[in-house]
Amino acid sequence: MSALLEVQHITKIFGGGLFSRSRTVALENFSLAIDSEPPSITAVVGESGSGKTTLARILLGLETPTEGQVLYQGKNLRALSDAEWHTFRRDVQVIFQDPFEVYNPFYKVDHVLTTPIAKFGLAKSRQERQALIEEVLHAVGLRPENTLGRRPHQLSGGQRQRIMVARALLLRPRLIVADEPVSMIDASLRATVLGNLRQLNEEFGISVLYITHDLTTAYQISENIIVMYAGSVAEAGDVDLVVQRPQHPYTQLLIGSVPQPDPDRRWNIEAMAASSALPTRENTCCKFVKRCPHAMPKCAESAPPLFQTDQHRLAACYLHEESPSISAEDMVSVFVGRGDNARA
Amino acid sequence: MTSHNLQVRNLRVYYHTPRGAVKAVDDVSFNLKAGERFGLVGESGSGKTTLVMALLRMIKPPGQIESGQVWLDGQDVMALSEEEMRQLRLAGIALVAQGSMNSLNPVTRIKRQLIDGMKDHAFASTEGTAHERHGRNDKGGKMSRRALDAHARDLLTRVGLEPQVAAMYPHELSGGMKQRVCIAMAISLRPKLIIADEPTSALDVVVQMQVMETLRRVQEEVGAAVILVGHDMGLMAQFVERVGVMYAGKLVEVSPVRDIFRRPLHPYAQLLIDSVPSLEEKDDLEGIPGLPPSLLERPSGCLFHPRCPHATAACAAQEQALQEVQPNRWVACHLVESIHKNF
Repeated sequence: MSALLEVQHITKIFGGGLFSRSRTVALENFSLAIDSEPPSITAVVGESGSGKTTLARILLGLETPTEGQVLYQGKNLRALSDAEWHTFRRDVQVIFQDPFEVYNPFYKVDHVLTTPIAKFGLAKSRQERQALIEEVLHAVGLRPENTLGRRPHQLSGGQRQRIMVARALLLRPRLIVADEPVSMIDASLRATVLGNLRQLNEEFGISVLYITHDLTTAYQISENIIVMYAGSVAEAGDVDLVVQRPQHPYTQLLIGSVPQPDPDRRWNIEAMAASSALPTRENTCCKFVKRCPHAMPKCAESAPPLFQTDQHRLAACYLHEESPSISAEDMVSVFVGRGDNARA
Repeated sequence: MTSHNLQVRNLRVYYHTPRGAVKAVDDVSFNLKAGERFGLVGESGSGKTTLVMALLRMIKPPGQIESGQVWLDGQDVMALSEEEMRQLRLAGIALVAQGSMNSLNPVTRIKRQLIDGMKDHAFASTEGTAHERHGRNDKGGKMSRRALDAHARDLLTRVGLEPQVAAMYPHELSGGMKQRVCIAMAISLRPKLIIADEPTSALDVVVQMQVMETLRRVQEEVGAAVILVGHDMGLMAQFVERVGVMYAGKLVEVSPVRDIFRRPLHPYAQLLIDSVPSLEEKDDLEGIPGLPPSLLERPSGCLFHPRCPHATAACAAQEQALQEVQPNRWVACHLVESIHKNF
């Protein structure tokens, strides 16, 4: 059976036209398959410029990859018929970063909920429409009487983002791509929105691709994690392994930089000196080589493949070259949930 | 009392709207020692940015500083004339605003922008080691162009940037580098107080650590106190020495950072700390229940009582003032003694 949504060997290059000297490789030879069965939560983590948002935009069909293809149920996204495209638009929903920009301030918040109902013909009558809306609002923990009829500016960022989760749920999609859904809302409200996403996954069987720069929230909600660096995978696999015992020096740097809510556990200042260089964007070496405290001559000569260091984890680093290497398109085969199923 | 570099007494800032006065900062008092790092935390709308803007007297209508006193090194800030206040900004109190990296002028080289403030404040110096001697009066005459250039390069080195950055334009720099340029500007006149309002909220964690460590280093060198405004409790734990928790325009707890993380006394501080997700164990992902009150229709009694898990009838009836319940620990809660038994 083919995956619900899959990208194969995609590369995305911005710029670099005929008269342009600068070109940016945003994503390089990246493959990922997302199944809807069993429903999973996968996190894609990386800093600005790691290619995570480009990946989201390509998955949603908003951007065309320079190389490689995007498959929806085994069919190229570019070759879908109108009817198939319609189903795709329903099956795959998105939650964007900014809960302020997505609302039109002239409309009441009801507008973002009634539009998809009309567009996809989900309700036959006004009562049915109201019932649907109330149901999804309850599902994300909002009280319809305190939410409907309001203008966007009357609600907090957290409430607005929960309405976006409710809107996604309305269509009963099979996959939600959430691109930094909580980075613009208060720390105290983040947990609630993340709780909603997890609930969608557990109760409604919806898969979630959670794209973020925040390792802590990724750890909290996902089963598998992909750590991106400058358009390539640095480390991927079981989130517990990757966060508790990171093996790629970049993941180690990231985890060491997270400010822990404990004044006695200082962040890893030693890592700072090595960390200020910019990533190398050549594909002839490891992209982290200039910042890496463990860099070896080999690292500057060729880009490391993914080494399978544990049953459920891969690291693209020559420090682990004694482990068997695995090709990029097989990355998801080590993920928790998938491998287990294959054996069962 | 003289050991305090900043003293804020009963500060009130209201926004006057057609529907009534919004009490964004309501009777806030606190002190800062010279060189101290103080964190101001709270949810959006709790008044933390309004509070620090009031220290700079940069509240715009319909906002108004209603009453209160601010003393910086014995100088009554509220009594200064507009021109004296303008001179105090940057030279006495510097601001690194939220997203201030986007406030750099895109068509001017970094050097010009660094020097602008110094020129405007008649940055004075005698010859020789220019940047080591600082005075804010005109006695020594204005610095020569060459000395200003040298000072700009020195400032950039201090924040860990190459001196060549002086000749660059903002678009040639990354977000973290731009934010460091803003820190360089903030320390250019050796202020007594640096206000950093969510200085890293737009940056990645690695860059955030670099920027905050840079700020810590230069702040210690210059001997300036810092007020860090934000809602990231993790960042507070890493950076500040004392934390003030704001809720609906009021300070509800002020405690040393270790104490507040070990045992927060105010139920709201407890919930704030509990809502920080952990990298060690998977939590229940529960935020703080309820919403901050509308500042137009404030609840009776303690403003937090509708959301407080411990609230009693007394909480709804009467408000508790901020009081020192242990040495250096200030809290505004009726229930401190009943919740924390072994007190």
